[in-house]
Amino acid sequence: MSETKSSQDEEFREYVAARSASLHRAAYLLTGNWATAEDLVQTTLTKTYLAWGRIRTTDSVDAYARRVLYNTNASWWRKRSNREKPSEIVDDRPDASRDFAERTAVRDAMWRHVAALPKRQRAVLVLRYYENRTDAQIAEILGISTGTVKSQASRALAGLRKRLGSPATALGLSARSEEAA
Amino acid sequence: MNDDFEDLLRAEFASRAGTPFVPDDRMADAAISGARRIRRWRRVAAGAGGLGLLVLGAAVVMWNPLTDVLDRDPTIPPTSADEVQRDLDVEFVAERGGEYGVLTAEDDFVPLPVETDPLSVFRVQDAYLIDEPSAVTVMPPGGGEGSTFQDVPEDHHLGVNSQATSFTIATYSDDVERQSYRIHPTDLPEEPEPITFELSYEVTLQDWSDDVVVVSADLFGTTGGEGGQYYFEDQFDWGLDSIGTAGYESAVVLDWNDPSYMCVSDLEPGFGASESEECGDFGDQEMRSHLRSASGGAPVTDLVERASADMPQLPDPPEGGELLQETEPDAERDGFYDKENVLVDPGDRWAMSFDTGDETWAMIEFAEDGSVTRSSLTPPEGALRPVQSYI
Repeated sequence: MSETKSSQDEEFREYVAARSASLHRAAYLLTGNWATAEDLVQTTLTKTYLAWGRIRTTDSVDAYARRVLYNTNASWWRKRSNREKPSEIVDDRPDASRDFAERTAVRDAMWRHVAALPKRQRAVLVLRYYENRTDAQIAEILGISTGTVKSQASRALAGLRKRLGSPATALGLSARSEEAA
Repeated sequence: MNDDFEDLLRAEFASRAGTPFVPDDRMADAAISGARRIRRWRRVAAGAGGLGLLVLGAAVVMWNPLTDVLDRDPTIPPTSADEVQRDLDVEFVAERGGEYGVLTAEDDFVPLPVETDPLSVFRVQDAYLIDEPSAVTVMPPGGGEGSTFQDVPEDHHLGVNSQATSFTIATYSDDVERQSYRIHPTDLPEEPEPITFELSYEVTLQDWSDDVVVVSADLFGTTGGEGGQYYFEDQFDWGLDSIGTAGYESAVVLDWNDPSYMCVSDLEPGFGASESEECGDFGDQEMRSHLRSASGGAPVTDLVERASADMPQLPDPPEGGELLQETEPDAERDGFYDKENVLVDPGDRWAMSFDTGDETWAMIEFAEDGSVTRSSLTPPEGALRPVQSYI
């Protein structure tokens, strides 16, 4: 192997050591389980290495890898997602006697709702609420317009609201307030 | 209202992703070996009739066009060079007396106008294409200087259309997520300027004619297989517009997973793309009618059928944990893909794999009746690799 190639590989290994944990966390939020997240990150890293010779000297390596991560998830995993059924619908709205365990159950319900979202909607939520990206940055990463980012986010939140009611009632807070009063 | 849900989402995401994670050192090595394997497959795919294996995500899960074959009994008698030259019309790139040339099926040696060993030699209509690291030469079948493009970047790759009447030199653009395609006819001297277009990395060039370009992309991810009007070019900037500007009548986009599903962009030759695409199943009469209409009456059905049939059928994605295991060297099937050179006949008659200097090469022969024969081949004296023929 040439010296240049070996040096490039070493740089790539350093990048992976520094950033793979962050990619894994985002991948987990996108896919919902760690094993699938690992596959997604592995694919992302492979694609990133394919472009390494061109991107290694730029300051956008991580942006490139993230773009690959999110778009690979949106495309490659579609066959699996097509077979998956949305997780169970949470029909029952929270009641007034919710304790800690029930709050946890509501959070789980919210997580299941997020897991059942279409890929792009879920990606928009993760980028917005986990990575704290702006809509313009999200648009760039996903290769869609900012208008589409807004509409996807709005649709996802509307679905969440419809499923869980208001955040306060979802956690039993308003009911507790009424009881306290 | 939404603000509260936004806070909940932030807390939930942070909590869920907060599990301590220890990076695995093997991931970088697995990515490097996987990427190198993909590069080999790209070379195989380029020889196998197109640029189809640029489906990166799928390639990582070890899509292997010869998997079924390699699983079979490998005990087969050797094949002689005479047999493959006579029975399969195989030609070889060879070095004899310090000169590089093509050893034809009739055992004639046609010198190539090169100083060093070329990367590949392709046979196309009325010419040989000689691919070198920084140059591509079109040479008449009988030999001679031919015409050489000297301004080719080292990371280019060469593709040939299914009719073998034109070829493309594909290069990466300054924007790392786009590829530029220069299309040249194989009767080169008559074409003063190459046709050029630039596509997003999300789109893979499959085939083309004088009037129609066929590409592939993920359509189902957006359409779910439903027919109707969509706005891929507008939303994803795939580059269909540049195909129109290059003068083509239509662009046909086949779905990666189901190549019978497609979207058709009715281009304005010389100007660009229409604002939307019409999507549906190729078997649908209305869709076929739209395809013909968008293509300005140019023959298109055969082109699309062929491109659809040539698309690799992708496997399901791996279940959790399989990928690392699959990218270990031991996962290579029978070592066929471990070799330095893996070449597949664009006409699907044979595949060969070997390391430079090997006295015998591994060979797989595909008969028209569907039977498959594995053997070892003793190549002709001085043979470096087979010529890949598109005619």
